Parts: sequence; C-alpha cells; structure tokens
Amino acid sequence: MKLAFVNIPLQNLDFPPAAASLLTAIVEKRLGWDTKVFDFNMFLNSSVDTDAWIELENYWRSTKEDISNDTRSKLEATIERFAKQLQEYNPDWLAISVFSRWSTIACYEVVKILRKKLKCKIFIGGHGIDSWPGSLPGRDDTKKYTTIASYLKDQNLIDHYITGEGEDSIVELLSGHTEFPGIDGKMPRPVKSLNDLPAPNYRDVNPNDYYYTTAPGVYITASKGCVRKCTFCNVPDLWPVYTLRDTDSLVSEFKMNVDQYGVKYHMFTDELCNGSMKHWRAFNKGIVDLKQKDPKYEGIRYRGFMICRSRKEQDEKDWELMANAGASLFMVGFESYSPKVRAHMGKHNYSNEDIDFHLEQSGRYGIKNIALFFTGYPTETLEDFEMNKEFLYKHLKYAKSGIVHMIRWGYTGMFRDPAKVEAKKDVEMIIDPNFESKFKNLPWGIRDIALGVGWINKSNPTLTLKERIRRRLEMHELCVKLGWPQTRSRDELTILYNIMKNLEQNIIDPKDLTDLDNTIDLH
Amino acid sequence: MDMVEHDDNCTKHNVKMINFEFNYKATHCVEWPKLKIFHNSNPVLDVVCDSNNFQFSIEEQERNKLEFFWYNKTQKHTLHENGKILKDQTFELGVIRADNILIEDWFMTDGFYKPHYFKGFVDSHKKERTNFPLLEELPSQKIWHFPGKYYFKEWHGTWWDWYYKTKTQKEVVKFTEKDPERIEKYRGTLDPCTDLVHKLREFIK
Repeated sequence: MKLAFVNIPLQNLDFPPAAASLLTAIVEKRLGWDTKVFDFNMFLNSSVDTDAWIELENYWRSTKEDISNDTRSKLEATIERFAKQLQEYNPDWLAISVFSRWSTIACYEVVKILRKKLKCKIFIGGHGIDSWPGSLPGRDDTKKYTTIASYLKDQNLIDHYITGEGEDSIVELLSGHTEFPGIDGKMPRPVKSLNDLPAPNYRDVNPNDYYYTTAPGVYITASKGCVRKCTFCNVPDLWPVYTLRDTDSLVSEFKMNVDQYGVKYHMFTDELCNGSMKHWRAFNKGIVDLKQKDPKYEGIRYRGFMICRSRKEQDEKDWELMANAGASLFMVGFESYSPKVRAHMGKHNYSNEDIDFHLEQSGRYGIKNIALFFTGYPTETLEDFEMNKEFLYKHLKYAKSGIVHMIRWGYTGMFRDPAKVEAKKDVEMIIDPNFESKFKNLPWGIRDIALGVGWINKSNPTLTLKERIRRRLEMHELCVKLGWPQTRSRDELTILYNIMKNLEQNIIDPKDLTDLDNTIDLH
Repeated sequence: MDMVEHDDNCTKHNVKMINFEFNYKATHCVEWPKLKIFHNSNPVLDVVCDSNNFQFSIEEQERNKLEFFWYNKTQKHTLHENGKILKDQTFELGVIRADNILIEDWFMTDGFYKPHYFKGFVDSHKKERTNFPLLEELPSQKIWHFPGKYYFKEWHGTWWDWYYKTKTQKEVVKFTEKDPERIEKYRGTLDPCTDLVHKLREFIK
C-alpha cells in the first residue's frame, strides 16, 4: 500500500515540513507501507513568479479576498502539474497537512482539483482543519459548517479527517479503524508516548534543499502540552497532560540529523522547551556532552518557545548551559510588564525582576528572543498599559543589540470564548449579541477574529474596542520610534483595518453610557 | 547604557556611558601581559592580564576609537630551547560584552593590528621570507603573538544605534528572492505602517 503525504501553504520555506516527515516515518514503521512526501508549498514557490507568490500569500492570509485571473491561472496550472506527479506515484491514500488557519484556503484550492484527478482516498489533518470554512472565497454554502473539515467531507472533497495529534490516529485510519478517537470528528486522544516514535523521515524532503535563512535545519519535538493554564490559550485543552520525550532519544535525533544530513539547526515544535527544568537541563547537558565527544557536533544550535522562569527555578548556570548547548533563539510569551495583568492571565509565576533577569542572561550569553506581548487584555488599565511602555524604554538596549530580536503585540484582545478569562475575578465579559449584524460586510477570511473583538469587560468598561485599538497603535508607534523591530505588525494592523472599515455602528462613546447593563459600548 | 526618564529622544541624548567587558586567556612568562586601553587616544585603563577579564567604561563621543596597546612583551618573555618554545607570554581575546551584552566578533575582526615585531624576528624574516614583506598592519585576530597596537572597529554616535545598524548590514539572510518577506520574517521591521495607522486613527476618532 502507498501513502502520498502533501504539504501545502501557508508554511515557511525554511525547513522540511514536520508533520509529513514524522507521520510518513510512523506509517512506514508501523504499517510497513511505502510513503512519499510531496511538498506543494515548495513546488508552488518554484513554479510561480514573485508577484504571484506574494499575491497568493496574501490570499492564504485572508488579507485579500480574491486573486487576479492571471494568478488564478498560474495557481491552477501548478496544481494540475502537481497532480500529475501524484498520479505517477499512484497512491492508495493521500494525506494533506493543514498546518494552520492560514492553510484552509490553500487546502480548498488544492483538494478541489486533486479530488478530480486522483482515485485514492483523501484525508486531511492538522491544526487548521478546525478553522471556520467561511473564509473560503466565493462560496455561500460554507457558513453553516463549523469547521473546514466537516465542510470538505460533506462536499465529498475528502474521505476522512483527523482532529488533534496524528501519530496514533493516522495508523488507525489507514488500518480501517475509523472509530478511533480523532477520526471524522470524534474526540481526539493525546498521543500516549513520545518515546516510541521513529525519527522523522527526510528522504523526500532533504533539509539542504529548503530555502533556509541562515543554515539548513529541521523541526524536532521534545514535548507536547504545557505546564501553565493561561486564560488566552487553548493548548491545555488540546493536550491536557504535559508529556515529555526521553532526553536520550532527543539527543540521538540531534546526532542523527548531523550524521545523516549535516543539519545542525533545530527548531523545537514544543509549546515550551523548559516546562520541566530537570528535563531541560538533562537535554542541554546531553548536547554539551555530545559536542565535547566529537567536534563535528560543535555547531549544533536550536530555537524554540519557552516560558519565563523565576530566579528560584533557575540561575546563571542554566543560561551558560543553554548557550553551550547551542540555544540560539527563544520565543517567549512575557505577555505584559504589569504583574497584575500577568497574574490574571495565569502567568503569576514570574515577576518583572524575573523578566529582567531573563533578558540580562540572554544578553550575557548572546541568546536572541522574540518577545510576545498583549495589549488590550480585558483587565488592562491605563496604568498597566503604561508599564508595557516602561518595558520598551527600560530594555531598549536589548532591542538594539538584537537580544530581543523582534517584539509582537498580540491580537488587541480577541476573546470569543470568555469562560476562561471570566473564571478569574475582575472580569465579566459582555459579548455583543448583535455584533455580527453591525458589519456591513464581514470580512469572511477573518470572521472569527472580527467577531472576537465584540466584547467589553464590565469591570473595566473604558477598555472599549476603540481604546484597545488606540493602545495597539500607540505601542506600534512607540516601537517604531524607539527602534524595536516588530514582527507581523502590518499584518495585524491590516486585519484591524479590515474589521473597522466594515463595522458600521461604531459611534457610541463610553462617556455617554448611563446604564451599563442596558446599553454598553462594545466598540 | 544608562537610560533616564522616558522622553522622546532616548536613543539620542540619554546615553552617557558604555561599559565594556573583555574576556581573555593569558599565559605567564617572566610576567603577565600588560595592556593599556585608549579611547580616542585618551588612556582609560592600564591592566595586568593575570585573570580572565577586565572591564572599563567610556563616555561616548561623536566618533569613538578603541585601542589596546600590549606594551610589555619583549623577546625575553619567550623562553626557547633548541628552537622550541618552552614558555611564552601570550594573550588571546575571548568574548566581548558591551553593557553586559555579548557582542558579535566583527567589532574586533573588522579592526586591525599593528604589531611591534621583535628585532630577532625581523632579522629572521628578512633572511627566510625574502618574497613576502613583513606587513606593518594586519587584520585583527583573537590570538595575539606580538606586542603592539590593536584597533577595534570605529563607531560613530551612540553605540547601540551604531551596533544595530552595522549588525543588520552584516547579517546574511539567504533566499530572499524565494521568499520576498524573508527579511521581515527573520529580523522584524521598523516599518511605521503610516497608511494603516492613519486610517485606523480615523476610525477611532
């Protein structure tokens, strides 16, 4: 039996796709099937010109609602040529990895052609399959579906879909066990163990053939889940139990990637690398030992997400160890420089002094960070907001030195599901029940984001949508003025602009409110 | 970098001093290496390198030139026996930190070095390397063999502004032709997004 695994946009071009590499290795090991990875993302990039590529990126990201006829012709011709490669392989099953919500349009475009061209069974999986299908362009029949997966299945464009982790479900689906958790809408079950998984298979997607930024690299997984339960995050829902992989097998995979592919750069897929300090130290020590054994491993470097730890939980030796192991870049959700806001988020475990220590140690050892922050969190007062500004002034040298490589201010308070944020005191979310009707033309591609901003916290009523946007703009402008490089700021401001230009009733001012329960300005 | 209260020109006026930390490895022979540090030709520090690092602070000027003078090494600080070096006074530069932040090697490697060759070495070179003149000025290197003057990359204006600008110019970001937004994705951007900011401000008036 043969499985073709297809990787689609929107994904980075730097590294081979993680899901395809791992899941095909699992299918080969557990089922003994023949597999082949087909990277449509790379195929498309090499097939179309720069203008078309940029237009398509904007299309995938829903910053534009349609593409020009010329670009559409190029896209469809490319998919047709891609289909021929698949036909030659003649698979029994075809898997499509829908990486994120920005992959749903690409999935639809690809699958509607592949379905006609291939006789095999098709299934999809990945984080993006839970996205709302209303983002699909030019379709009015999608609105009643809750996910792109259910829509595509109902339209007979796919045969099955896998929700949640695919490591176990893919084997069960291909074995005909469609009743298994995670298949076709059944409640998914987290993977039992990360230690029994084979190493990813890069036979068809050699890391050296990718368009790496500085050096060829691969993704790697050390854990699933998170040790925190933050009000804004769904990771604990997806992976209720924080699961770690044995450090020996992790270090072995680093070694194998150097030995087999000459690849030294690794990107952790984990929600956080340092969920267990004991595990994290053991991993770093393992890499340092490997480097000391043979100089060919000296250049090993890695990057990943981490949480800010308190001084009690770590010291300078931990930072020295990470630097020696090859820590290159961490993405860290500091979230706010206001301890009060952080505490409400569930990030009460570290203080501002701990953030300062994190940056100080990063600076001493030359480890870069992408700093993730929120502005417009439901409890954020003006005083809290000023603290975020204080962060920018106080730590400017880390931006100039590249230690804070980039900063990002989050989605200006998008909360459609208030339960988590309300579970703590000081928040009583009021969601405008008629918010959707206030749009003259709801931008479908970002519908979930647009509807997610129709709230106000009754306990912090001056934080209206207008005020949240004002704060977001102020942070943007301050970053530019001081010299803090930002990531994806234009994308996010474009989303806000697309929401605001379509929002008709946006005229009530909070100072006019006399009866908060009856009339509330959500905008 | 000392920062004062928030004002509009924090990168322009508030920087007073820059603190440097130089790490090194040195070996002893008769005595330890001795260095004099100059900032814009003004003496800053005279240090005996008998440890593993030294630190100093300088007040930044519009143009800044940092210069190390290794002044005590002579031929007597190298002990030979049958043409083999038994013991030597040496100096090897390690990592450099500015304001406690590790900085990239180019601050040193973009500089240059004017060695004070020993007479015996000059004589020997003349005899044995007739086809290769002894250079007066060499690219900087981490391991220093001869005493002499070591010049670091000159900077203009505020250290961190200059550092950021120089660093980004030196960064090699591959495959930008394949991924037109690669630089923004890799390094972020200072794009003011003036158009979007203006339009959004109109909405929240």
